[in-house]
Amino acid sequence: MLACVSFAFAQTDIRGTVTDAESGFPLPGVNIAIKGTTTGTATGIDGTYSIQARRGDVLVYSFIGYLSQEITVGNNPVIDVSLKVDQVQLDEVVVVGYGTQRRANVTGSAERVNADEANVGLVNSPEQLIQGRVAGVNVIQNGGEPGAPVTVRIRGGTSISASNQPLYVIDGVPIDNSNSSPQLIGAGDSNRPDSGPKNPLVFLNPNDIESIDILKDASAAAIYGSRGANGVILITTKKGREGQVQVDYDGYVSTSNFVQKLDLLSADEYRAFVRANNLPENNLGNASTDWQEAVTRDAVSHQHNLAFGGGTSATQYRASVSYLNNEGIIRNSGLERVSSRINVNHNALDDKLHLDMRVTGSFINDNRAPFNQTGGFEGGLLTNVMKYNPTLPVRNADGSFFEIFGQTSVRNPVAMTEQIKDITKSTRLLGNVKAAYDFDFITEGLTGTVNVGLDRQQGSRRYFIPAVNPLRSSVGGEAIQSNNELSSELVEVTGLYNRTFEESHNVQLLGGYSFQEFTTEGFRALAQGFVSDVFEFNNLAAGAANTFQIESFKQKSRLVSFFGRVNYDYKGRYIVSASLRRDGSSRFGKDEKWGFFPAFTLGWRLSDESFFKSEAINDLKLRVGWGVTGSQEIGNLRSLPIFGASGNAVIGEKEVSGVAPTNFANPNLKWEETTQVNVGLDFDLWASRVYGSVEYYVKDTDDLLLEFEVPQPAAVPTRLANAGKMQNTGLDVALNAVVYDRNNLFIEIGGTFNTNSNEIQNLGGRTQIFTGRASGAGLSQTNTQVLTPGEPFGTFWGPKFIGFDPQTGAQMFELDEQGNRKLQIIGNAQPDFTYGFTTSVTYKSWDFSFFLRGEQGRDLFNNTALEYTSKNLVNTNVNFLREALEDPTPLAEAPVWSSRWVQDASFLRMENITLGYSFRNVKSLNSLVGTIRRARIYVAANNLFVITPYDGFDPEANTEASASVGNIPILSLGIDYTNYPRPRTFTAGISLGF
Amino acid sequence: MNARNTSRKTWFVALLTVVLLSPIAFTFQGCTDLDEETFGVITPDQFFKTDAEIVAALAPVYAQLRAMTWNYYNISQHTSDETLVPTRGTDWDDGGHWRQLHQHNWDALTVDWNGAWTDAFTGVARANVVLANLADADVSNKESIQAELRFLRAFYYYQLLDLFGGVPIVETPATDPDNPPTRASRAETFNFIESELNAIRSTLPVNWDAANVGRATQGAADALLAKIYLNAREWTGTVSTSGIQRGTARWDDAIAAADRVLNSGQYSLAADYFDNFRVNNDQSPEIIFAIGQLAKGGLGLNFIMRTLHYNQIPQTPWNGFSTLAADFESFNDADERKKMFLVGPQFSGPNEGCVGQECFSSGDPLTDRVGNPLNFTEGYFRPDGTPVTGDPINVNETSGIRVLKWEIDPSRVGGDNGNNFAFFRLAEIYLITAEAMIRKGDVAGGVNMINRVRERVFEPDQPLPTSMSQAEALEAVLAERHHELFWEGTRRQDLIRYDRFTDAWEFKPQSEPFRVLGPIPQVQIDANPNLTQNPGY
Repeated sequence: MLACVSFAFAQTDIRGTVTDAESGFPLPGVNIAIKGTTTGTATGIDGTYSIQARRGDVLVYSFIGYLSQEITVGNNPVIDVSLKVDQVQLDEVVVVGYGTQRRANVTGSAERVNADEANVGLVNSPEQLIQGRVAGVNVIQNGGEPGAPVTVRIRGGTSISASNQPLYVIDGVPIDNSNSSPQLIGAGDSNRPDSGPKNPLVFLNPNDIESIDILKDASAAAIYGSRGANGVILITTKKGREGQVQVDYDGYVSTSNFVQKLDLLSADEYRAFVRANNLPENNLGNASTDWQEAVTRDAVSHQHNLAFGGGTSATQYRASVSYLNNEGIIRNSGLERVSSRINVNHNALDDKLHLDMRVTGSFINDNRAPFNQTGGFEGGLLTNVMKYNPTLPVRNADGSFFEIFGQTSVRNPVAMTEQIKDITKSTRLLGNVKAAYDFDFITEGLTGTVNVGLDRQQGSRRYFIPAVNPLRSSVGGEAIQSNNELSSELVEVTGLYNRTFEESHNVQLLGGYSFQEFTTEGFRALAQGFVSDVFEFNNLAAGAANTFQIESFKQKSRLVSFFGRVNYDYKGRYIVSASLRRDGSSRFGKDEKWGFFPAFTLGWRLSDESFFKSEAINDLKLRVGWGVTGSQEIGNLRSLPIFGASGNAVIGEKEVSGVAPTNFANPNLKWEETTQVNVGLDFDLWASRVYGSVEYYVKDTDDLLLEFEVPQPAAVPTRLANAGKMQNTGLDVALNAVVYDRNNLFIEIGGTFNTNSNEIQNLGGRTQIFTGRASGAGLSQTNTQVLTPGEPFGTFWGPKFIGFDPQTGAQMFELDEQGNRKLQIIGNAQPDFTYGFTTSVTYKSWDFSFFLRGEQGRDLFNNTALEYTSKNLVNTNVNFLREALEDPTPLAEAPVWSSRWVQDASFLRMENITLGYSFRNVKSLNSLVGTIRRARIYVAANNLFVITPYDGFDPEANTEASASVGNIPILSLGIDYTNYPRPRTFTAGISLGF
Repeated sequence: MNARNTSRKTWFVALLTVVLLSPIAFTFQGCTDLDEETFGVITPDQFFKTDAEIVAALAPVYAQLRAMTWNYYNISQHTSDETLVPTRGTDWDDGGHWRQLHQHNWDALTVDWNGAWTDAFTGVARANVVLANLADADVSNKESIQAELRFLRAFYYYQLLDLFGGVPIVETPATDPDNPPTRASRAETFNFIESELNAIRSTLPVNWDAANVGRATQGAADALLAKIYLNAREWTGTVSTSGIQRGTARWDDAIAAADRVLNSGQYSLAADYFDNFRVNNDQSPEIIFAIGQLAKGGLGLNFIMRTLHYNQIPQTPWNGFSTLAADFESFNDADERKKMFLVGPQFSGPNEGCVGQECFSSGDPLTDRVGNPLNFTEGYFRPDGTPVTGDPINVNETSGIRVLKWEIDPSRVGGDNGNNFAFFRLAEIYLITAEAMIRKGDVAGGVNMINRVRERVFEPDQPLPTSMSQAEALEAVLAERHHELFWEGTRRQDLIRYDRFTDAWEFKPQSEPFRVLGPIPQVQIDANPNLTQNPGY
């Protein structure tokens, strides 16, 4: 009977090409279905398709990221379609915790960044992709070293002592993002230059990332419970698409150079100064060395990515391999990364079983510069760059490095870059398998998923200072090997029920259980006293036995969670969502093992109301959310009474190992808790020509972790406890507009804006906690920041500089009644507001984009300037900054910490600027190199310029300068001390698709 | 047929997946077990079982003694007229706390006081933890170890009594956080120390074998008793904003305790004064109680680092502590002990196997960091050569005489030298006896005691006349303590006993009378609201 009907209307062969409306490029893999049937096909590699259809059938052309089109089959058997990019992507699916949601129905504060758009120029870590692109997400590159850590603050920090970094979830696996780079033995030895911490996310190749979703507020992040307080960043990697094999190559070459030199005295000026002041000339040399030039270089980096993917309707795959060689602008520093990834999806059992496997492996070879130096005066690489007398040569006549005879406190910085070896090799393997099964036979819309993930990283660090360098000449060289392993295992079971009733009630229920265990273990060894420098770190046993030091450690933590979420909406007009997570952590005290983290949101799509019909307004949605999240980054073993190997005594002229209490038990120790209220309005006007959102939030953090002195006598003088309160309030605005779209010219602009105000409200009864340790000679124990109720985190505290004494030239400071320097608030490191601005222009085959980013009204303590703006340094044979030459301070005056060194570090940075050309007529190239699907070449500049009144290396520097209270650091913010300078980078790249 | 095959295959895949995944899920059984696992550390229930474990628990109580060579020592030295660390150029300002100590204008936030408080109380608490766990443990020598622990606890209380007056007396391993301990009076704290020492002194061994040298002995307990009796008037009295109201003198007890040491047959004066400060000073027969030090990272004495100039030894010393001109001048030129001062031009060697001025006396002239000859001056000068007046800031790097009393250890590791720090040595016991006798009126007996100490350091002998007045003899014993115990951390106590602590001296005006006691550190008052502040702060 059916057969008869089908004969009644003859089927015709419909064919055509589907192209991108903007570029005119053919689109492969576009789904074409006959509406109301299961019949369908997909376009081939050249964008062409053919399908059997009848006249009157409606063909639906759909493709991810594009607006679907429906075309009714008429008489013409050739139907060419051009699909437009879905600008607003209201129907886009966004990743939320434990699943996805239609963007239109998101009621919490969640933002998405499309990775490909942001991945321009020399980008080596995922955080750089979101920098300045999401309102309220502040991303700071801590320095210019390749792979330097990145500070990510979502709507201000919530902690003064624990981590303020968001939780990262890669393809559903929450990862341990603590600094995993192996530490040296006796890290913090002020006499040994170290390198800074590294960004653990560098292992992830940005080219493998499809999208990054950021859960900013508690109502969205509460599903991650005790780890959600600082927001959650969900990274989704690219997966294969159905269709023929596609091969993509992306590569670039870039050159980076040192931009912002500090204004130190030149050799001639130094000589002239010494002579003008009748100072001894014993140390004046005949050379003219610019030590900043001498240790830096123009660095060349290159990256190559090769990816291929494809598949059938049942199985899709994508595999990629990439190589990055990222040279640092300091000699002999840089990192190499080889990474690969395989993502495979498979549908089985009548499409009821969905398997999803993602594995990535990454190998990093990191060559570090010994630049890091806080405290002490012996000095790391960059302090010696500042210090070293410019009249002295880099090398002696015989080619060996020049060192000042008999002097050990200042060292030739070029020799340091050549002689000190600090190499870290790390491997990271991250993979997970998800199996989801549709339990339609129980009830429609029910899916059960098991997700098993494994993350394992291993790092080996090798460090060597030869005896030939004055740093270790007295001990016969020093070699260190340090290894660590971090691993985590995840098992997660979730059930999802997703169904629409009566075409208007959409219900989604989620329930789940998750178990995750983290292990850290490691081993370190040190030896000194080598007969020859030839041994390096390759034969520790060749050192002197009485210098040997060894250490090993292991720690484990475990997180067990139950969670659930209900989403309901009525025709997408009224949207309700509620979630609850119960988290148990081994880190918490025995009386506080489990925490509850609820969230609740409401959304109202005003634009769907009959009383609110407007031509101009496509979409208008009001949403309100409330949620509770926590931060469990309190470290391991902090709630238990612990005895450790500690307190070795010397008895009978021998060392006797001791065991002493090392932790004061706190059975009530628990997470820091953040409650956040978010009110937002999403809008889409004039057919998506203008769209964006405005959000207001209030974020209250309670139970801040602080180390408290316990009443003495106590075997451990302090105890970690929950006390203290902090608040962040602020406004996020995101706005995008298509300003021109005619005659092949397309211009879109976008902007983000955030203003956040932070206030410490309570410090557990304390009125002041000092932090922000200044570095430099004579400045130890000088605190530059205060935490005090009523003031924001990052408040600078010290004497106020009021000018120079007209008689003596000495620095003068505001005095109190007793005539002492009056200590007061002299600045704040938190910006008044931050903003980002993007513009993208497409004209025919050309594309052009730039991205500006800035922060306004923030202060930075220029510790480098404090230490080196002093003529007095010449008395110690040390160079100084020109500013000291020009100010009237007397020769004898030592540096004094004051408001003079708290500088306005507002800035506007041209983060990147790109010009690209896409070959429209790729077929003409095909004769040369085979089947090319797409081809684009581009040039880009990163960090092209920075407009700022700040005169240090970079206004965004952030040097760790925590002061410790007990065993925990009290964080500082906005201190710049001899950081690795951030380079300017030019890149030329090519993208090819076959 | 084909469809069935596919279906079978996919079922197989599904089954395989479940089979593969489920064991992984099951390995995580006990899925809600949140007890924290520990590795490489110990929880109390796992410990205090064997003799070796008890020794390991005892070690940190001894180890904490090393802490006193920093905060307790620095306070004792820098608040007295023996030590100064000026701000040298850009170095050593350190927030002004050194200057505060020297000029007696510290407050309850000055870091050194909290350091000293915490160091000593950590020692008390460590002793209490082991004592509590020892009560039920079945180990040999239990009584002797208990006596040792009580001696050490008393020794830590002695530091607190000296610096802060009366402090909380706690003998349990933990305190009630809701009702933290209150301060005992200074007299009660004194009485606690006295009664503890008297209770355990006879249980302590008379001496130890070589493998245990450094552990507490009867001699150490008696020396400590002698020391607290010497200061009993001050330490059983009270302090107000107008100064000390003294308690009862205990001269006879001081003499008796000192006599027990002198008559024990265990100790004799070392032939050479400097034998007490050499690397092998564990061999000195004079040392009654010493803080063990080793040339190993974190275990050694770093006194030489604090005073030597950056360029004197390869470890880059800190060019900090120096002494006042008046101290140097007060030494008789014939006094062997005057050798400890480094003054004038410094040379490249020798720096090992020598003491004091013998070192840095030959070879190439050393230079300072600008390249000028390294020449330690008696006075304090600015970089341009003008004398420093007012605050000791903007001082050049070569000002001030250095004190090289402790031998530079040839096998030092970094700044860690193996010289033990002798806390009680026989010479001081003679001087305690001398002072007590003179204060009682036995001037001749006291002067004879002083002369026993002087014999060693003058060649030919320069004995003091026994005919002097009591006032002169008191001056003489103070001067002798100054010279014999120079830079050994006793000067603050001595000046307080002689009512001279608040006098003016170089770079220091006269200070308020209440300065004889330190402030209770503000952080401690914040932590324990039951603590009352000392007068004046």
